[in-house]
Amino acid sequence: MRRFMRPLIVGLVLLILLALPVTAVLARSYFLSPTWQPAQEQPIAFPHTTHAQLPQLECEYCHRGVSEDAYAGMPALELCMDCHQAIATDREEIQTLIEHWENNDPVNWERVHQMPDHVHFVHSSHVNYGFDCAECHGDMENEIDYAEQVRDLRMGDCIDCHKEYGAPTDCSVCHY
Amino acid sequence: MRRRDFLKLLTVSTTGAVLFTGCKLGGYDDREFQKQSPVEHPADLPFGRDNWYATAFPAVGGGIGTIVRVFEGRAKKVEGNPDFPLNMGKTGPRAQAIVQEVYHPDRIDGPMRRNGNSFERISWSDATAEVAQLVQNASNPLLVTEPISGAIARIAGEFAEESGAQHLVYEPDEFVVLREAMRRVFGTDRFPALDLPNAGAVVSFGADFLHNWISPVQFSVGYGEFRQGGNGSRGSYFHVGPRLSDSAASADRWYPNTPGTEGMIALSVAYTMVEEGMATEERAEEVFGGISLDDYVPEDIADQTGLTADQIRDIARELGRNAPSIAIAGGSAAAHTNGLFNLAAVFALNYLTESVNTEGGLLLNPGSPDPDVIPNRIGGASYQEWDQIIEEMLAGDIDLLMVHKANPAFGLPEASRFHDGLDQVSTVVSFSSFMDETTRHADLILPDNTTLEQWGLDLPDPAPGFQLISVQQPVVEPFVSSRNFGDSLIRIANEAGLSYSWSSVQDAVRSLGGALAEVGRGLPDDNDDPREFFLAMQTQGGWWDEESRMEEAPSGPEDMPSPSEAQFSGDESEYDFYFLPFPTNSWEYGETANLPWLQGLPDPITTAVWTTWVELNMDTAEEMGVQLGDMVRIESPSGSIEVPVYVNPAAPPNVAAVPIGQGHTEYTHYAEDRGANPIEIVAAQTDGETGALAWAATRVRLEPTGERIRFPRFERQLPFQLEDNPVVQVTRDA
Amino acid sequence: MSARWGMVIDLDRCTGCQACVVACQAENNIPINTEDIFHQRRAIEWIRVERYWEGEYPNVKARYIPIPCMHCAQAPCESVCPVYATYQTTQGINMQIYNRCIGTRYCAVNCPWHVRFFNYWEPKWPESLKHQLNPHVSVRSRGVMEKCTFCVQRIVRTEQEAQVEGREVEDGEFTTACAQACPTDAIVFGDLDDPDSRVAQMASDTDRGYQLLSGLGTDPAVLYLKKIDPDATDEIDGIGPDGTRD
Repeated sequence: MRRFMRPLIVGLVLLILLALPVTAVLARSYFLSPTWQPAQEQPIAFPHTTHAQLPQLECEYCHRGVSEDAYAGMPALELCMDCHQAIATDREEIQTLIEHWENNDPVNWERVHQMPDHVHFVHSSHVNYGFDCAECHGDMENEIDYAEQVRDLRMGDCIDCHKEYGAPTDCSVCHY
Repeated sequence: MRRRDFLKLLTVSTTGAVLFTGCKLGGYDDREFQKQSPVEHPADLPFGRDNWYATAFPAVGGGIGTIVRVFEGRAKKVEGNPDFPLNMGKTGPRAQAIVQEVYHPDRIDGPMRRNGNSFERISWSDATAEVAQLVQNASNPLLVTEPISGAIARIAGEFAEESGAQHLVYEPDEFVVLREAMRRVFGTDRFPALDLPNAGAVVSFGADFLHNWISPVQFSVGYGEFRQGGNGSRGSYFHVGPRLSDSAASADRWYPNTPGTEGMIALSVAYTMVEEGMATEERAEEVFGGISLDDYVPEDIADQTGLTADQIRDIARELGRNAPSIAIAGGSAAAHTNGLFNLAAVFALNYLTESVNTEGGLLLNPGSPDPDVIPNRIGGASYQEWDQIIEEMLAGDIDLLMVHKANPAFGLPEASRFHDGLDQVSTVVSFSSFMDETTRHADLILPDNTTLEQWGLDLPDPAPGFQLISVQQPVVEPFVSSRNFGDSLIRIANEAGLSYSWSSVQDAVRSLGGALAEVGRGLPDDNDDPREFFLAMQTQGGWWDEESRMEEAPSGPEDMPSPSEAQFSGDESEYDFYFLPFPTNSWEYGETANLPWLQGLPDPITTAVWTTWVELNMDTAEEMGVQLGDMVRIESPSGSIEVPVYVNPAAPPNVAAVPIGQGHTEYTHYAEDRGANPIEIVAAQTDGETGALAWAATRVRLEPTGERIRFPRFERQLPFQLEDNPVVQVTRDA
Repeated sequence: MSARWGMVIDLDRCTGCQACVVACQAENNIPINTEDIFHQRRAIEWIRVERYWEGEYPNVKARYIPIPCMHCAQAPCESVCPVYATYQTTQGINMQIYNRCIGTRYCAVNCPWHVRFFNYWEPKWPESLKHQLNPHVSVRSRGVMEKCTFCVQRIVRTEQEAQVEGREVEDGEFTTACAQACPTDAIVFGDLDDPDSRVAQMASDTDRGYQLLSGLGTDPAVLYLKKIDPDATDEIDGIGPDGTRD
């Protein structure tokens, strides 16, 4: 029995030593993956619920590309200013907005949903199929004030949903 | 992208603003929605959709119309404008690469002032004020530009007039000769169009018309139809020239001739056509006037031309029996001491085949609907005119030189002493976007916008046989702190207290373009509201009238140059090779050598990249004991360069062909100190009649230096072995 | 949508101008081929123009042929990939899935046309030139193969537009970057399964058609139309690609 112990221990130690760098690489790629990155603070705190409830704006009022394009798109400053030159101009955040407008300086919104470069998600296909925005983005109308990622959105998540709805699972549907 | 889609997504205002409708509460009305991504914007933030804007190229690719894909405020991709009659949706390699000009890392990023040997950034207001001061004080200012037309020609013209400056246009001398040949043979200032789709045969004497001769994209579109178009018969193409050029490789037959004998061959062809009954003697008499064709019997002159008598007769039959047929000449044929005669004799053949301004023939262009309002393209000055200017420069008579885009310090040979002349000019102001050889001498640089950032109203030359004006609009904001050349001129003039008709180039383009509504014909046909009319012009990329063709063709040449033989610099016994510089598919005459895509684009024949080379015949190379990559010194009576050898199976034994375009000492790190410039060692010989530089009239000798380099090329990159199964399969049946 | 994408290249129209090559580089974020890369024989051109010599001076001919990926129905590259990173889509495109590729390069070795390219290093652009990159195409990282995709991003996009508008994709609605640029219209792209498409009609109407290396039985989706040369001789003199006599 005893004479097997030594090689066993050596073997185990070696295995752990070998596994360490592999684990490190995997962990690194996992934690550095775009999906893992927490959302940065936005330059202007934009409350989605307020806009969805009070003036009852549709998502598409601002995210104009959502039903026609790959990207939902961010509104131009001009769109914000259409209303905010008159509404709530005394608030601090709106002041910041007006400052941007007057300096002709676009707002650099922070990206919330980070996708790796080799993934191409298309909003229009999904919206036109009949999905509600809330399916992926959560209930921005009533519950979520400030945009955050509420779904896993890794490949497994995409594939599960594609299978459930009978959508193609060809690699080239998203990766090209 | 469907054909009509880009029309919907058009420019509304200055720089592609996108109009939305929202809950307008009043105020801010005059401000349209601007693009949300200026220069410093993070690129990963998508703002929705990409847009396509119609614009045009002033010079690159022969003034073609383009649509440009813009995404996040960045120009991404250039495509041909499918509506634009010149190129019908097609482009060429140089047009495709133009986006790299906008985002070039070595672009001059703002106005500069010389400080010793380097430059320092200054503000636009300082730069403008300084130049205004210089213009006011200068006694003999000189303005040098590339060939310009339309709005910018008006602006530069007005500037020259108001400030008392001489205006000189720089373009490769080949085109100076061609312009004069067009004048003498067809009585027009404009380059010809070729009705290739309907032609039965084309014979090109040295013109690389599918790759870099006057309007290659336009001709290539026609060539596709010429070969395999719907009309059932396949057009036949012969090429006569001392080098198997990129276009010649597509020819059915290539006849290598002795350099400078193109005109002689043309006359012999004319003789044969009369002799074999393809043309009447009277007609030949009318066309060739005082020239006695009997002196050009193929059998008598064949030896001199390097062709056989049968080959000359073949060319005659090719033209005479496949009517309508087209004969063109260009490239090195124009670059001899008898260049004008060469071109004129060849172009006159079109009269014999009755294909001047007929279907399937050589089409003459009517030019501007009103040349006083919208000027035709201004042609370049000949070498002789340059020589006089350089004399003045050397004498210190020119105290202010303003130069835009033209780069004579690279394009003129060493023998011209242009560099010395530049040193004697007290102040040089450059409007170039890139540091080139001429701009290196500048005291002030006011960088121009690049092609995709500009307003313009141009007349492509050649047009497709009818009146055509292109509208160039900025598809993106300037990427750096640059300013349209025209706008710089206007502001300088204003500062100097000179009067000007317009406040900006945009203003000029809009007013000149809008005024076309009054012509009352052509497209767009929405002539009622000038604003709508101009918008429609912007949308479709310009204005054109397919009915506005030249009605009458002249019956014969007005003033046929008399025959002369080509003279060469350098004695045959001492210098045993004809030196043949040639413009290339990637770099033309060196203008596009700064773009990495074009540097890395294989030359069609040699597949060489990033370098200059000399093409040698296989036997010659064997005799000299040189192989691919061996360096040789090319010595002419006026200098020498060292380049690697490319052994070319199609090179004639006594010709040393070297591509033009490399050998820049400036012009961004992609082009600097790369290869050699063959024009440098060209002797200062000129065409007897036009005074244009005869850059193919030099003889050279070759001396191996014993060094060898690794020859950069695409060939042999991939082990493509298909001996048993030819890659390019060929059939005899049309 | 069912389609079988394919291409017809008419060699009688091709003039070797290489517009297709630059158009492809601009569309597909292909790294700049520097002089060093050419020396290393690692230049990437998803479509390239080759030139073949025939005969001896003065009866010498140079012939051009553009060569993109053949998108074989029975592709030799696919069967050797250990991780299924390359596969045939339902529309007949031979796709390379970059995030799956582990860089064994077996596929490149097994491709008789040499149209697969390996990224030996991280692709580099000067900061400013990155502004030109096409956001709809992945930038390939070090260690993966890349190849012609028949501009799949254009296909996907057009299909989406058609889907949004509730219609079928029309023939000629879009085309690949190389075909769109080609000034002589030598390259035609389209759906081979649609008998009314231009590409299918060209393929069926001609007696000049041939496939490169048809003997291998890979069934390429790219059909060439023979170059016409009235003076063609049947025997072809062999001159090696670098100008040395065989």
